[in-house]
This record gives sequence, C-alpha cells and structure tokens, in this order.
Amino acid sequence: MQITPSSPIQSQIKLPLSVALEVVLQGIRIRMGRSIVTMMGVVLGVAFLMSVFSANVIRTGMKEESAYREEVQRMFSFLEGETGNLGGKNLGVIVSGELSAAESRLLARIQTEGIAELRVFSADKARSGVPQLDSVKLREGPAGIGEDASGLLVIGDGALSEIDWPAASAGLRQKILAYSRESHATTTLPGLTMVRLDRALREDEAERMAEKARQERARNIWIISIALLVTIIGITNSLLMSVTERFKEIGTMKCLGALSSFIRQIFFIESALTGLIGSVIGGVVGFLIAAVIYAFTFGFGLVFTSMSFGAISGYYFLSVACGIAMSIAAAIYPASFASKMVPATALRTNI
Amino acid sequence: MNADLVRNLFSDTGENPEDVVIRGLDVRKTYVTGKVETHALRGATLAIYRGEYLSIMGPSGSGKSTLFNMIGGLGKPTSGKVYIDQVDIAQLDPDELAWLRCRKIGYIFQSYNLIGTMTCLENVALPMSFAGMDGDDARDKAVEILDLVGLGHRLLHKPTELSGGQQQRVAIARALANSPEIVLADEPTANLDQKTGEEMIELLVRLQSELGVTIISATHDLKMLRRSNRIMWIKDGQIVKAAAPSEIDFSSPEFH
Repeated sequence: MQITPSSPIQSQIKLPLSVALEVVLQGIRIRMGRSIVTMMGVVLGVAFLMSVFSANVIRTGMKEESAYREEVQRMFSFLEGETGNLGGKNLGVIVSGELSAAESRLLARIQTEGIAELRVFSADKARSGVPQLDSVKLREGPAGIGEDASGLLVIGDGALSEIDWPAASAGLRQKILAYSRESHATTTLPGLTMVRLDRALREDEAERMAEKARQERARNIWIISIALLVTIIGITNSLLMSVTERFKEIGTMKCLGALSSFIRQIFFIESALTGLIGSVIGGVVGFLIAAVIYAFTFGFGLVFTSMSFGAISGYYFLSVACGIAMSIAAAIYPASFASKMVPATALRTNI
Repeated sequence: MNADLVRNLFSDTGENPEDVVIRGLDVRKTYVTGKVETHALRGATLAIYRGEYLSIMGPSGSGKSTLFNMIGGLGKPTSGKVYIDQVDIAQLDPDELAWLRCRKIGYIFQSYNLIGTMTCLENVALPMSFAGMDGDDARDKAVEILDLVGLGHRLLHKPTELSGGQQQRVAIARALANSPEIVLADEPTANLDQKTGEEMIELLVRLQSELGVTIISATHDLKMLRRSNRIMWIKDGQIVKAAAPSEIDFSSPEFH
C-alpha cells in the first residue's frame, strides 16, 4: 500500500446514481423480509385506495346496467304492447345515425323473442351500433322494408328527412311506427300509428335522481378522502420506520466519506422502488378484492359485463401514481434529516 | 481564527506546525438530553504529531469516544477548535469533510459498524467507491487488504456470519481502504484473540513505521501501550497527562 503524502483537502466527488442504485438493490435483497414488510404498508394503502375506486366503478357500472335493462325492457314492452307478440314476425327497422346503447340492446332483445326477420335499413352510410344478429337483414333502401312486417321501428340519433316513407311503409301488416326518440316524432305520416318508446322523466323524478347523484358524489368524496388519508399514513409510517432504523448505517457511510446527496439518493431510490412495486401489487390486490366481493354478491356476469375497464385501468394508474408519489414524499423528511445528521450523532442513535 | 494566527499560536511551543497533524484547542462537547447536560469534553487541548503512534487511555465515561469523534471530524465540538493539517475543520463544507473522512482518516470503531447488508469485500470496497475508484479496482484492492488482515478466505461472508474478532479485522481492513494518513482506532484489539491481536498491533506498527501513517488508538491493551510512541491520559473530559512508554511504570495498578 502506498500512502498518499499529505495533500490539501479537496471536495469529495459525486458518485453516479448507479452506485446508489446498486447499494439500494443489495440492501433490498439482503433485507428482503424487512423490505417486504415495508412494501406491505404501501400495498395495503394502495389496495385500499384502489378497492374504493374499483367499487365505485363497479357500482356505477351496475347501476347503468340495470338502468339500461329497465329502459330496454320498457321500450320492448311498449313496442309489443302495440304489435302484439313479435315471435315469428318481421319488423322493419330504420336506423339513422348512431345507436344508443339502449337502442342496440333493444334490437338484441327483440331477436331473443324469436323474430323471423329484422330488416334493417340505415339512412346513413355508417351503420354504427347495429348489432350482428342472425335475424338481421340489412337493406339497401327503405323500399319493401315494411312488407309483411308488424311495424316500423325508427331508431338512432340522425335526421330522417331522406326517407321515402310511402315506400318504407308499403305492405305493413300493422300500421305502426315506433320511434325511440322524441326528435323523430316530427315525422308524422298519415295512416300510421305513432308509438313513442322512450319516456321523458317527470320533473320530480329527475329531481330525485339528481339529489341521489349528489348524495352519492358526497359519499364518494368522503370515502376517497378517508382512503387517501389511510394510504398516506400507512405509507409514511412504514417508510419512516425503514429510514429511522438505519441511522447507524447512514452514520457509518458518512464516516466512510458518503456525501449527503448520496444518502438522500439511497433513500429516494429505495422508497421510489418500494413505492412502485408496492403500488403495482396493491392496485391489483385492491381491484381483485372489490371485484370478487361484488361478483359474489351480485353475480360475475353482471359485475364483469357492466364494468368499465377503461375507468378501472385509469384508476389503477392513478392509484399507482398516488402510491409512488406518496412513497417519495414520505421519504423527503427522513432522508433529508438523515443526510444532514452529523456522523457521530447518527452512530450514537439507537432505535 | 486564520492560519497565521494559528501559526503564531503554535510557534510559541517551539514546535513546527507542519509536524502537528491534529490539534485540539480547548475542545468542549456538551450533550443535552432533555434538561440534563452531560459534559463529555471539558476543554481538551492536545497535539498529535505526524507519523506518531499515540495511545489514549482513560476510564469509560472519560470522554474518549467523544474526543475520537471530535478529532476525527465526525462531530462538531460545542466550543473550541480542531485542526487537521492546520485546517480548522469547522471551516470545511460538507463535501470537504466527506473527502477528509474518506481519504485522510481511517476509522476503526469499537462496535465495528460494518454494514450488515454487504459482504466483507463490499464493506472494504465501499470507501474506495466513495473515493471514486472503479468497481473492479476497488474489489481487487479490497481482496488485497482483507488478505493482509487474514480474512482472504471470508471475502463473501456477511458480517453477521463472522466472529467478533473477524468483524474487527474487517473493520480494520475497511479503515485502511483509502490508504489514510491517519488511523483512528477505538479499542482495535478488544475482541481479538491473543495471536490476532498481536498481528493487528504489528500491522498498525508497520503502517506507522514503514508508511508514516499516524496511528491514534484508544486502548487498555498493555501490548499496544508498550508499542506506541506516546500515551495520553484523558480524565473527566480533559487531557491530564502525556508520556512516552519508557517513562511509565506498567506494573502500577492502573494498568491491571
């Protein structure tokens, strides 16, 4: 060994981030048990947050689903109320523009009643929302669509100005024109009975629903706030512990020439990693818990068909981002405290 | 205090300031725990000469460890000055202090303070990577030093898998990692068996005599005391006496 001759004091060099990363990875690997416990804090917090979000999405989806089912059932009942049982009969359908979810479900519902033929003519070129059904026969034009049919059904959000009504309604068995939207009522045709399938909400009904929505929103805000609080406290607590129990190690590293920035790096990398892995797992766990509980209570079919996976993945990323952000935020105070510690003090600390 | 003032201050004693590697002037340290004040150092003034092997003796609670921390740049004195190579270390910024701890001083702690998540090899290589040494070079040098302290066969063990004596030897190896000019050792032979203890003393003496490293060690080990150039007594936070081993009667009861 060669001893360097007495040299003037210089500034310690800054180490690349990779050195800190290596130290952190090694620490996590060796202290796997402890790291997992810390991570469980994050998992728990994020799982709670995510399960609250997921439950919300599932509930909203189920509510929409049952509202659809009700609406479709009602439209169908109104239609059959005029035409009689549709089984084995034909029905002319004029589509204009986009179909609403309820309208396309109505077509599916009609098919399940064993209709012989659904003749669909789309007033616009794009036949969006028309379900692929066995009994659907797409037509090029409106002519003959009413031939031997129980009635005409007008659906979609487009205009109906281009339709040749006399051609369409020629040969109808029952002179019935059912429409699903109020805007279509302007098409009055002589000799046809107009049946309106949709139903405008009464004022008091609308008000009640708005009130209910307000209550639901308040409840959601409350639950999510609590969830966030629990998450923050859980994550902060577990990360704080993992930092404070290592003051002695920090002191040692400082004695060996570690810069404060290196100590800070170590803690930020570690908490970011813990936060990332914990959040990713926690998000999945939270979703599964919510989904399984709702699925067992309300049936897998209802829960999983009505769930918006877009919203779920959105909330998943939000929860994960929250988890990581909180983990890093939770490390700010202990990391800066530890990095500023005088080595002798850090060495004397006993936790 | 500027450098000139210090130079004047020291010139009174007739010694060349260049020869003093560490100087403590009226160093005081008070720990406050709640409302209780503990005066660990009550004005310690001392000079440690370049290249000497100094032993510090003192009963437990005499302020030995605090003195070590202060003169080693590990803590801030409540009042008083510590100069290392004539530089007031209170004037150094954190990065310079880190450099000092990394390059100039090697610490051997009583409780070893090895990093539990790292192998012996990594513990010894760590100060080298802090000094900016390339990973492979650091490993090679760490192997070399661990061989020197007789742990060449325990490179990849974790500290917890080693005996106290072996841990102490890793701590010694780590202190030597960056070829320091000063080695501060707190009871370096306390946990070593007779033979290893003697080997360690030999190693320290060799570092001092062949490479000119300044060795400062707290110890009650007679063998260490006899090998040192000077012995200093600390009592109640003050330096009370300093003498060469030849002037000391080792048969007196305080050594037993």
